[in-house]
Amino acid sequence: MKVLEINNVSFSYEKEVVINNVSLEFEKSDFAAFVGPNGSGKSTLIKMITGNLKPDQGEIKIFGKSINNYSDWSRIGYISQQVRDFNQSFPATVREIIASNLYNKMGFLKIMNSKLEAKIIKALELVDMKNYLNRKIGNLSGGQQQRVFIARMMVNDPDLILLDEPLVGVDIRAQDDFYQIIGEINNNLQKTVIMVSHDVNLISKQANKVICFDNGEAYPHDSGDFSYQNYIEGLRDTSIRIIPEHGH
Amino acid sequence: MLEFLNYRFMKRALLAGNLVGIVAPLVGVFLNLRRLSLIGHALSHVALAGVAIGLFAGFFPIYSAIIVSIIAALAIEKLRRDYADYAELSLAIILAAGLGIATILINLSQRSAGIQSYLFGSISLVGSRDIYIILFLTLIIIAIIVKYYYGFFFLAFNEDEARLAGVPAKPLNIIFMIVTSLTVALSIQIVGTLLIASLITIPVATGMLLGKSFKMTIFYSIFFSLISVNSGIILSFYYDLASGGTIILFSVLLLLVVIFIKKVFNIN
Repeated sequence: MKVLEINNVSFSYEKEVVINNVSLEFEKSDFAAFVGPNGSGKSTLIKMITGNLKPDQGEIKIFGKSINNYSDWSRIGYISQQVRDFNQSFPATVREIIASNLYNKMGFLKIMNSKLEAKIIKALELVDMKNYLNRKIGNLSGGQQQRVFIARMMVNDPDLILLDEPLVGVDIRAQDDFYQIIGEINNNLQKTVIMVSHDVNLISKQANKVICFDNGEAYPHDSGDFSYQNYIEGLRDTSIRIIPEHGH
Repeated sequence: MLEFLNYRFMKRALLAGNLVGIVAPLVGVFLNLRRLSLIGHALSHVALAGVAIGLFAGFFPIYSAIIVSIIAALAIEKLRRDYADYAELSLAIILAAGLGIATILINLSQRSAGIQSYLFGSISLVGSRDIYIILFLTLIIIAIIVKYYYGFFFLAFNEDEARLAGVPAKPLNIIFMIVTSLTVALSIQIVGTLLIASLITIPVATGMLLGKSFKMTIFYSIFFSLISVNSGIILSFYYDLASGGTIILFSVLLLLVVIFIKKVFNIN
């Protein structure tokens, strides 16, 4: 079964066409990169996959189910550009931050239980932050906060992970760190990852599929030798092999 | 020394005060962390309009205050979305409208003499019927906050991310605004409409200086609020002071003491 299918999807903001008849497919353990200039439609498509925008035409299917009837949103993990837009002096511990993402799993009375507590520990172990459970979020470094937000996403054990430019304004070391953790989640846990990024060089080393967006059209590339130059040339030409084959 | 407990009205005032002293900072923690502390200020002016409507038309003023402030809270939530980038504009609009209605009705009303106790709070104002209303509303507010605790928490931490994580932001925001307006309405008699916003804000400001977690911040905020409320009510009994003002000055004093202690002992 395909994890995600996008069939002939179009979307316009007022009269401007942002996504034009795009069709894409993603399978289990795919790592797909959405690249392309600003305004090319990458983030708009992500917003449609998260159900925040409705396509004008076409259909999106998640785990084989039409998005219109889809309800199991906890299977989809998401980190947005706004992830660091929080008040650094917010009085909350790592545990509280992660617990908040279990909101939809808490049952009618929305109370934490030992099963949910165990999920929090497991998610923190995944990002190697177990010892920071009761630390205040604002007292952690940027890189550590980023790990906490990955843990917050992973606490629901999502099968499809959407990352919308989570690395804007993050230093190189934290970027490497981020790619390493997401890479492990993709490889070891067989999760499907779709990541929007401007850093074409860096992300193409991780991804097995690169989808180039330009003027609302999407050009998927599966493999090939990648360089920034032929990314620009290859943007419109899917016959140019722009992504290196690697052990995926 | 505890002679104030011989007075029925003091028992009622202390009971009502302690209930208000719990819910005001409980709701206040979420409001302040969302940088919406001025909502309390706007709603209290609207609640004053509600009181004025009650006095003018001969209803029980707290009932009309509750109804009018719930309507205003929903209007704020709507305007807050219409003016997403200027959320504070919605507060200014509602505050002005509330005060406008209040001043006109107070002027027209024959019973405007009683208005002062609603403005500044008066411990002799709490009747036995009020106690039941305040107790009932307090239980409702606490139950709602407990039930939606993690949802409200996520919305306060990062509203956009919460929305995307499947937290039903729109209904929860509306529920939270109703809770806020109930809190304001039930605090009127103890602290007065002009000072409710302070009870929502100042103990929380103190609690935020000490809390390392969200839960502990709530705990400290309620703790400082209860000290202020009890001291304020008792002092106002002995020295014949306005209860609202005494409570608020006491909470400011506690805030200054905590800032001072943190500074002197270099506590982080």
